[in-house]
Amino acid sequence: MNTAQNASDDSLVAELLPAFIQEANEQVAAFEQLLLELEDAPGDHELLDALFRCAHTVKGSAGVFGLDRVVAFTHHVEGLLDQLREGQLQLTPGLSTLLLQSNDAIRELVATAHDAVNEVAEQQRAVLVDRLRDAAGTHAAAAGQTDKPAAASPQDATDRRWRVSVRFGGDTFRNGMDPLAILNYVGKLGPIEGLACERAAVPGLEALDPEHCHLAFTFELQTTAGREQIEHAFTFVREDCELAIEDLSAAAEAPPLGAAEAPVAAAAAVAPRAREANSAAAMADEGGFIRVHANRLDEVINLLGELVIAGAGAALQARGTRLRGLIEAHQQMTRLIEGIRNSTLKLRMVPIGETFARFRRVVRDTASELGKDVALEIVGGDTELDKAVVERIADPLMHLIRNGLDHGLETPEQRLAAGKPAQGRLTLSACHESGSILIRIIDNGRGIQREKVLERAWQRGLIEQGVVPPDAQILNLIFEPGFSTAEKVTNLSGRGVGMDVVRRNIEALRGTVSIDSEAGLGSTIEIRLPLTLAIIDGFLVGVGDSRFIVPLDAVVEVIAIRTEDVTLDKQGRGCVNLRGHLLPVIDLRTLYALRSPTPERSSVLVVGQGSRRYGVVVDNLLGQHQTVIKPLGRMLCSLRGVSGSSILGTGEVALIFDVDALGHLAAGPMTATARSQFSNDLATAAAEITPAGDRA
Amino acid sequence: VTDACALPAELTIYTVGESMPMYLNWLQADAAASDTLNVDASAVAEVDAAGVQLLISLANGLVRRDRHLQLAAPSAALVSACTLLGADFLLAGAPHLEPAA
Repeated sequence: MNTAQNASDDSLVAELLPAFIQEANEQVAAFEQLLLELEDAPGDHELLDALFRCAHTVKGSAGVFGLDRVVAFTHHVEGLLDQLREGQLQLTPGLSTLLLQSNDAIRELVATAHDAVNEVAEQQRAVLVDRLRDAAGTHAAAAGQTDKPAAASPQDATDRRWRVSVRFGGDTFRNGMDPLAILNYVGKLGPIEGLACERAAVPGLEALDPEHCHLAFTFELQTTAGREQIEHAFTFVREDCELAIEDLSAAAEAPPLGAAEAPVAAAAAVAPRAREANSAAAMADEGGFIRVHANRLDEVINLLGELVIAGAGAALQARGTRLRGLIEAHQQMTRLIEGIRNSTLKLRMVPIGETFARFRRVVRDTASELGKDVALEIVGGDTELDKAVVERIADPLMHLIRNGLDHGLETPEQRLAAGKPAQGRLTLSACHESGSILIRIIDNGRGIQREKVLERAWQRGLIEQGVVPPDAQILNLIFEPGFSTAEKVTNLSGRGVGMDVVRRNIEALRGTVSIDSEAGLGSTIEIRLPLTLAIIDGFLVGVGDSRFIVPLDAVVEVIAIRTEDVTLDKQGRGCVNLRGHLLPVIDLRTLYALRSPTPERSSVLVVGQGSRRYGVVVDNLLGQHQTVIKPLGRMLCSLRGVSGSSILGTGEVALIFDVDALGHLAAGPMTATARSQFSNDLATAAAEITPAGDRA
Repeated sequence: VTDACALPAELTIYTVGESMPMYLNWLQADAAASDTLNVDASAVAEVDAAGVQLLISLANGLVRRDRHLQLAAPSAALVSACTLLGADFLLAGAPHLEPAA
């Protein structure tokens, strides 16, 4: 679509430009990821091809929009990539860095596409272009000036020999494609030799579906055409055929892999990354998606929240009429609303892998800056969570990763001296666990010394001098404000502003963060986040007139107890016997000082997160409830154990439990500060909740 | 019966499905008569990869019964299609019909 040349289409171009910029940015991001993956698996043709496609797409669409500077620059990048693809060049760390810098330049160019020419940037780019040319050119000279004469007489040395293996997809015939025609076309590129049809792949007549394609071929092709042109012949069947094109000339000419210049990070484990690479490649040329502005989506979700509440209200009214038809109609509607809710929320779910993948570059650059050798491993990148959560977790993650690189992992010399492999390992993993997502940052560095942490905490007055809290709590002191153990302040971390800010940001997402570490072996940081910020499945319970909601995924079971069987302390904590195990319980009436008579029988909601279980004593169970999460008012923000509120169908307000925080209240011992904080909370809670109870 | 085996003029994706019963008949009928199935291939005017695949499949089915496919007087269209698809073993006589390595 060459619409740009036409003046009347200017408005169209202006309209489409934001979409182009977004797409170009995605391509640039994919380029970076692919390149970093390629460093771990040099010589992977699929990665190289995907890389080339990224650059090519940017160049192509920039051309449509008349962004000549982008086109001109990207062209040089493409040239270099082409040489890599043809096997005329090997990816060295230097080349890789050059390509990364070029990629940054493309990003910059796209962002400033319509700004005035920036002289400084222009000069920097000219330098890059020279280096790109040099990189691509050194080979041409070394290979004996094959390129220039080749342009003059096509039958010269660039006549290359390729081995092509192709296995057509089963639906090839049904899609109206004929391998015969395709081979015919390939034959026009140059003589086909040694063509062999894989006879054994075709089943005997009894087992044959004559419209299912079983054909597979291997042949050699002598042609001046490049890999791209050969691939082009298979364009229409590319999606479901297996195609492998091998450059036999390159294999003959070039020295064996790794002999010339050691490919980047050759020692890296290649196999487990192959899948990641594929997904990244798929991401790069995705199709069949509709771009929707995030605001519109938010609007739908807000409306949906209101619909859920209104639906609950209507269902309640219907029950009041005792008209069976009306009640059934409402039940049907409730189910439908639930369906809409689930699919709408899924629209916002994105895999966290993209965010993780961004850290490859951070790890690479930071590690080299610090003189460390670190491999980043990503596990569970396809775990999905709400886009808003993904966006807001990126910064805290970045900080934690930098921190791990800076303080956790040692230099190669230190590692070798400690008897560990020189290359450090940083693992980023994500998985779903009982309605929340669990993100782990694991390093195998020097770990954290509890004594040092304790000393610092005493010194800073974070805990009383001489008091030794349990091991697990000592480490989590590093998340306290004003804590830093770094011996040397670097520009990366160690300013002592980091960890407490990280914790605050994570808690703002209704998440939690904790750290575990073994001195000398490494550390594990665990971040737990809710899957979504908008609507959850809740379990509604009542204590007196007050209503509370527990996230349904966290509810393990419900048991009935006689109220007098449980003895509670002043904070409402106690224990019950659950099939021979001691289960810590917390009584909401005591905890939140709710003024209502204690019933004779009550229920204990067994709630669990991870391996921890505890019970919540409530009066009555009101069943499953679609919960639209509303933020807590400022007055209630400091209330412990509660993370949000929701409006019920009746118009009443119910508080939503923070399962993790409530668990700490139920089972954890209390520090002096927490205790005073807690009694403050109680006062606030009592003041806030009683009026709500009265109103109902 | 063998004399009755003749390939149709059109051997393509459009006809292979409906002609399957006929080819299956060739395969099963008259197994005792001879170890070679003679098929008159002179009438084939139009052929595509699906047609060639069917012939390969027929040949493979026969090999499993220790028999061979012998295409008699293959038309020019069939010869060029088989050659282009690397299935020239179909054109040769019985001795060449062993499955390729």
